[in-house]
Amino acid sequence: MIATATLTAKGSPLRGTNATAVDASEVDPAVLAAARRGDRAAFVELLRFYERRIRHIAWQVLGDQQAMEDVLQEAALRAFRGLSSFRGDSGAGTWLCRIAYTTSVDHVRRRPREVAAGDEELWEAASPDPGDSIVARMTLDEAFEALSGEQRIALLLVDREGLDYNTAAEVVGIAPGTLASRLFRARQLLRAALENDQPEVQR
Amino acid sequence: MTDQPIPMTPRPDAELGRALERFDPPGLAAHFWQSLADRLALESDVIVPPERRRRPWLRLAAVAAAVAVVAVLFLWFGLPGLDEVRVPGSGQGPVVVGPEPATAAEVLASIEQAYLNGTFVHGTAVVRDLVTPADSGEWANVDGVEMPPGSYTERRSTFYEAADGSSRVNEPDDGDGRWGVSIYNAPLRTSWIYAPEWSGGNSWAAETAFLDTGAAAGPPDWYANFVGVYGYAGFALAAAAAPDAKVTGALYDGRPVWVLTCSVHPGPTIETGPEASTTYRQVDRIAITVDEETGYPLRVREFYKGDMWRETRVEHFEVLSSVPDDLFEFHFPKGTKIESSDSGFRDVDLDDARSETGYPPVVPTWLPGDFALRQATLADVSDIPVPGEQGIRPDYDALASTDVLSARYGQGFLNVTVTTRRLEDPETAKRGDPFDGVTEFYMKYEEPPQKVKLTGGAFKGSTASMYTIDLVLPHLWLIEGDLLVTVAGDASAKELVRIANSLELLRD
Repeated sequence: MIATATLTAKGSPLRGTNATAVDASEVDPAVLAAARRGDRAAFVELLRFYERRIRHIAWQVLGDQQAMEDVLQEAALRAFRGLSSFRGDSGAGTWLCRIAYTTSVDHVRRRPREVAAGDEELWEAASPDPGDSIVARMTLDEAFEALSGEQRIALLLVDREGLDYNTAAEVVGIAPGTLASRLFRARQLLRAALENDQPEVQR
Repeated sequence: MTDQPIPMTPRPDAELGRALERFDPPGLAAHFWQSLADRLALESDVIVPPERRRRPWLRLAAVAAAVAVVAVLFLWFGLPGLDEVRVPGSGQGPVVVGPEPATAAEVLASIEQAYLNGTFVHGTAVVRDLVTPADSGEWANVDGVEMPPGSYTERRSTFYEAADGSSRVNEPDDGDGRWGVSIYNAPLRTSWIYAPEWSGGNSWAAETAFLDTGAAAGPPDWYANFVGVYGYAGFALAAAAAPDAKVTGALYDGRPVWVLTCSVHPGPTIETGPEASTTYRQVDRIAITVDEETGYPLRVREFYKGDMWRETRVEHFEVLSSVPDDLFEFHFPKGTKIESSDSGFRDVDLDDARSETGYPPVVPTWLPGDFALRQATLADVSDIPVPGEQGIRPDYDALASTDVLSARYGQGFLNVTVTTRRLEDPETAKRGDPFDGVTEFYMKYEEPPQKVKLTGGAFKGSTASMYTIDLVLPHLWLIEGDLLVTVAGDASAKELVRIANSLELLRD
């Protein structure tokens, strides 16, 4: 068990301190309120507002367009049914992302064995700590491929979607410290690969 | 690999984010939304919960590192059969030994006494979360394990907490090779989190090593990277303060205890930790087990519609008069890659602070009990951290401030922090609450703050805003010119106002 797992997190030293780097936009409260009253059109509007983020999550977990769309439909229905229990303690976006993530993971777990076997690498560290010599030869594509599914999600949520560590950890259902460690390794690998992708500098 | 250091930024890496564009997902098919609309049309209408009503603040609750508060209206609610719930792992369930051996007021006094005079507490914390109710029929996937309805996840850790706000939580290796430690040293205002790299089963975790220095004396600025497990027991004070709380006697873990029971109405949503699976549950009843001998809460149970959703209990509880000198310090193993941050606060003598801030320190001339100054810190520049809430509060930038003075006063495990700062954008800051989302521990409230016209002190005539309801850290704030003043901590609404009315400028 990771050290932070049983702590009542008040944040972490990894708190997101750069507000400008964070997508601060939230759905119109009126839309959220209407959705919570059961307005289906408002609920669809709510989903559309966060569509890009939840699509990212489902795609990274599933890697298949049809599966992604099926899962997002299922996640949307789960969210609609769960609106009565959503009290706004976290943002609606975080709540929806969490549902999208758990629905996607459930989908992977329930896939037929032959398919699931091929996706195991999504959830395991394919190369958690590659040696320098390997990293040095990796392109960005290869490095991204080498990340575990968990690392990819961490990277996506924080660096691509701009979530702070705690929110991203909440989406994935882990302690912020765990999220941070995944992110650290992922960044380490991707950063090195990014350098490799740069045109060579003339001396 | 490049010779350049790898950036270890505690924020989104924008450059990397742009590079990741190539991995963006494909768009949704054209028929996706129509298909969804068709399916939604077949769904039953959403059952909307009743609107929350404003609940008067009854009594603060607080403990340990100066947090943990419940301030909801507790109504008397009997819990027939509650004491028959066995204590898993303790070897025995609570046994009722007699009806109402004490009144709720006596229990409250006992708890307060413990918190006011405590030094160190130690024990094993066990947190159990219900996966899904037994009658739901829903299995849930928890960390890759399918768990049946009615089952509980369980996490155990040993902890030490000191009255000065220091904490140490050890997560022992429970057989899978994983362990970790989290420490906050209040005098040093430094946090350490460490867990070694681990690989086993289907999962893997990288080495975790965080060092946070320069914490503030208290909230709303950054002052610790976690709240100790035992802080959660602050529920006890609120429950004991409820005028209709019911008390029964029992034995718990071989110790005579009081069991306080009360309902929470309407049930607030409890946010207690990073596990999103339990983030949104509701609570309608709470049962608190208080140790008769020491006055400390040993067990908190939260119920909703008859199901116990969370149990936090302490086993092997001890009150210690001393602990090893180095208990609240840590040295990372050699070669550890440490991710560090500095919150920018340094110790300061209040008498000398004016020369650094350019304005006279604001100090309380009245405090509860025998509260005394414990720590004063100063930062030239500070943003009030808003973990987990940046996406919710657009006014986040409004709290960028300079010349931040944070002073913590306390007695035993109870603390109140008074801060002052110069705001860069006071007009925008007036639209928000500087404590909004300061910790994930507290519930995000929806009610407007209570307005209080101060009748004394340096800010006589000013209107302060105050929250002491729901699961928030009790706090009060006011803005005069570009100066933001906050008072927060283990105090009731009445005490907060009295402190605010006593604030004076510390002249040379």
